[in-house]
Amino acid sequence: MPQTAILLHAMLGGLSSLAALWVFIELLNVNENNTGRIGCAAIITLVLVWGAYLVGGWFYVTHYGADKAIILAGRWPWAHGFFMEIKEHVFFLVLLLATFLPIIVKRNNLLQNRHARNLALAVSGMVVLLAQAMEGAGAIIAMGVKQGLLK
Amino acid sequence: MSTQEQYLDNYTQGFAYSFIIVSIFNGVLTIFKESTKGIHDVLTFLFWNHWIGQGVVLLVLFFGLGLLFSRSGVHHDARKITPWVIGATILGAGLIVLFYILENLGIL
Repeated sequence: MPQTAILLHAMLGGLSSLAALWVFIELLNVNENNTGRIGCAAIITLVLVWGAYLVGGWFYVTHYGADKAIILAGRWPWAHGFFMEIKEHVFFLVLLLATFLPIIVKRNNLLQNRHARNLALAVSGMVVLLAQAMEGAGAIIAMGVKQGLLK
Repeated sequence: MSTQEQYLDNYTQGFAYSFIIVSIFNGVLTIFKESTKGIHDVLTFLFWNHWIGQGVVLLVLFFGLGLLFSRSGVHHDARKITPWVIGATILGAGLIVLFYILENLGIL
């Protein structure tokens, strides 16, 4: 179950980055036919990020302690000391941005309001970049566990 | 520029201001929480786990401030909001990254 949770967490995170990219690209080509899709994609991004948060958070508070001990005793202690510490605290920004995104796209006329469009582009773009950074950090942390087990 | 183009919706502006504040607050809270046992212990005591506690505090602040600012009726030029949101994200994340760089180098 814990390992399934970690895979699910990574999958939800990766998909959330794709969903945010979907929003970003639709915004670059906004027209009368895709404003509904933009709203839908923003909601999907929100659900995926919150899903990643809840699943990953469950694993973190219930099972990560054992992995942390392995990492710190292994060859890559910085996998926890640097990458995991940053990941667990910077992730809150992804959560807030993903929560903010549907508010922007649903509450403003994206066709007429250039500033709302720019804000939505910035927020969705930052979700894409930060989610990708989270994925990379997660891969390093997983490798840190492996390095500890191979010691 | 028409009024509709110049301003963002009330909730958009309100939650933008909220995000700006909470993003920077998250960076500062992380630094103090990891540097001082007191804050870490208080969050652990109140919420069973310090990370859960930080999440709860941030989310309550985000939604609370967002609703408060949304109803305040204050409007700022929409052109300034996007750079502020980007800047707050960079600053909030940057504080955390810098802290852990210094901590891992043994400077802190």
